[in-house]
Amino acid sequence: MLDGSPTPDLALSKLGDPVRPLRPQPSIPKEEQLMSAKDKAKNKSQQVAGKVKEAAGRATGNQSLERKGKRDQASGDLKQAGEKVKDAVRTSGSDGR
Amino acid sequence: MAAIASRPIEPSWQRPVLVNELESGGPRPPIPRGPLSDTVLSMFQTPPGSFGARAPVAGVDALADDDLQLALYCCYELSYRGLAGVDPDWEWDPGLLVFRADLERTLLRRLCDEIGPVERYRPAEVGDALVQLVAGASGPSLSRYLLESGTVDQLVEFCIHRSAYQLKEADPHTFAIPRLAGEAKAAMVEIQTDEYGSGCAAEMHSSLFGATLTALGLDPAYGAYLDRLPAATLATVNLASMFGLHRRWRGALVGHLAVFEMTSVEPMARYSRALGRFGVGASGRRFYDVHVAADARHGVIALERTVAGLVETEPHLGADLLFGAAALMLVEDGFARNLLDAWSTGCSSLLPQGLDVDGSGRGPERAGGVASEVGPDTQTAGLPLGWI
Repeated sequence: MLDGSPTPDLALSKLGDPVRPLRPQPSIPKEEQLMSAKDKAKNKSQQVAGKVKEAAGRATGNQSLERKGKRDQASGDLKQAGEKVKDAVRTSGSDGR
Repeated sequence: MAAIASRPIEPSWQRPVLVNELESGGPRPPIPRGPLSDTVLSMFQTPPGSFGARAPVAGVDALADDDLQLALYCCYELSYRGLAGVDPDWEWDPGLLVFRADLERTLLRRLCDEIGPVERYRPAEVGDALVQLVAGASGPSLSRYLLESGTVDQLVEFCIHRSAYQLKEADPHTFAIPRLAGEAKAAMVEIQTDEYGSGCAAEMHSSLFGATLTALGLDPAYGAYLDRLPAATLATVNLASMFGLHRRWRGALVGHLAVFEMTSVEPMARYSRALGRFGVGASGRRFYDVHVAADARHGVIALERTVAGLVETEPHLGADLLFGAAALMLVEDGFARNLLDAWSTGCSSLLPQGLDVDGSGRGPERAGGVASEVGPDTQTAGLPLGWI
């Protein structure tokens, strides 16, 4: 009698798939994963806010705001690229290569 | 006695407090755009009482004329926050009021021409007539455009335009309160209480719009973008001010408010989502989100209590009420078309930059020059030819 959900292995074997050892889960601490997601969101919002600032500067002829908007976007882009690099390193690390 | 009678300025007992005090607050006066606004703004540099007779205003399209709308806006601003450096006694200066009345007549004639005769209804039918009027609106949807295909530049421009009205949101309609009675008055107060944040300054709708401007990197100061606002935008404010400042137009003011409240839920939701498209967060969108909830209630209060209450106590105001509603729809249609027309040709919908917003003083002049070149006693002789 089932009491709750079947285990993944049981479900897989029921479907007739060959039972393979599951790929080892990335060993990134949960806290770090959370920080990474937060950083990505922050960088994304910096890019977006930069875009809005740039438009506000353009509309009002405020060149310093326009420049700041561009800088924010560039800085957000760079940080976002940094996060992508971090992700790539983590993925290759988890494969054990 | 003779000496007293010949004094050029009114005796001091008429001005018991701070003689000739000039406004230190309020937005800085705008750059004139033509002879009408130049007349007003030049006079504001002189003591009240110096406004002489003027030739009647003629030959302008009052809804599209940047100069007329700015002149009227400056006259009305004396009844709100004033203008920096301008004597507050100008507000009730008889010479200025004569001139303002001429501007208002020109605007009213234009509105009447566009709207045509307003049918008269029995008091019980005015509410239905108002609903039908609103349902028959056929103008373009600015909110839909901004949500579906607007660019970030257009969204910023839109908020700059709306700063004209939304930084003084609720103020024009408050003038109606002492002029109403009974149910209409109580319902109006209920709506206005919400508009003013139920007593919390940060929650006032005007403050919330300030937060939207701040979130966009714009200046939330009252009147900061006046020089960039074209006639069609100023007309949306001037219409409410004209109805608000004249008791005679209290019916129109109630109609104006009712349409505002009855039609804002869906557009406000779209504007919020449009801001969200560009990553504007909750505090920047709150002005719109609050309206979605508040106006669902206000629309019903305005229609069922303010409108119904007014026509019950003053049945003869039904036609004015529908005129005010139609006038609002007309100027809002003009506002939307003005923006969309500019954007469809890839242009900015704002007037060209007139002031240096980085704070380094007056920037490049518009064609036509600036007021400071025109002496206070010069009426038209000193004006650049392009204005005449």
